[in-house]
Amino acid sequence: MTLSLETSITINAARSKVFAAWTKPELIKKWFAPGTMTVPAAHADPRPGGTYSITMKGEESSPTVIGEYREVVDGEKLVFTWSWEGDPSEPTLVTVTFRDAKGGTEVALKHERFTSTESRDKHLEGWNSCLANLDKYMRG
Amino acid sequence: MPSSDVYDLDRIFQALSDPTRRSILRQIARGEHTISDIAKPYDLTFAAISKHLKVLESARLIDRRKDGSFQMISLNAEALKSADQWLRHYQQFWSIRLDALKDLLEEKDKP
Repeated sequence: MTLSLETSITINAARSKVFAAWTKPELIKKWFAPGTMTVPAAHADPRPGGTYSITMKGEESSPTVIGEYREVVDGEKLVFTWSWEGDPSEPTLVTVTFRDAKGGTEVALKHERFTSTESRDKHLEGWNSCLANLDKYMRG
Repeated sequence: MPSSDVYDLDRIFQALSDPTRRSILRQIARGEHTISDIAKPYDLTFAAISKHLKVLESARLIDRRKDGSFQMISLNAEALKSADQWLRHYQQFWSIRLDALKDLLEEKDKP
């Protein structure tokens, strides 16, 4: 039995712009970290089999998340694996869907294959904070 | 003179101490790439990528070869092997510690 989480947010921006914020390294650097953490380094090669990495810099540590895209539907859907660099456990899996919604674009996120509630809960907190930062960034 | 299979661990670990260089290594671990292929998924200038490649090259973590007008970059796994061997020496210490923890926990379970 593995655990999963789901969360979503509606961003007041066009779908293509929100999708770009998830897939272009120069835009990923603007928001893709929780709280007050910054993103000093990122790369993204959004095609099936392509890889990404995002380094989140905090006061005490700078973890890097790495993974591989499994599915990429331009403007609609991203499926990618998720591992913390140096963590030998099995990668988890993230699915993000982008839909036109009242008030902009609905970003729905599912993150599955967690093996502990602690990790799942931490990631849920992290994602909610990241999505709030995405919202803040897209508002300019 | 050290032989060609002796690697400079200072340079290797210094080269590995940057997330962009580690991600470039992961990229070329999947196969030989041109410099522009390597640069594509980053928002870095060609000069910045070249600088990272030079650091990796000075640690001998990558090899370059010319293919017509292209420069092909590949991983030199032997250099990583030397770093791995250095780290592996410490493997015995963490396995001993884990065994000690296991003993302690089993001890606790006894009535």
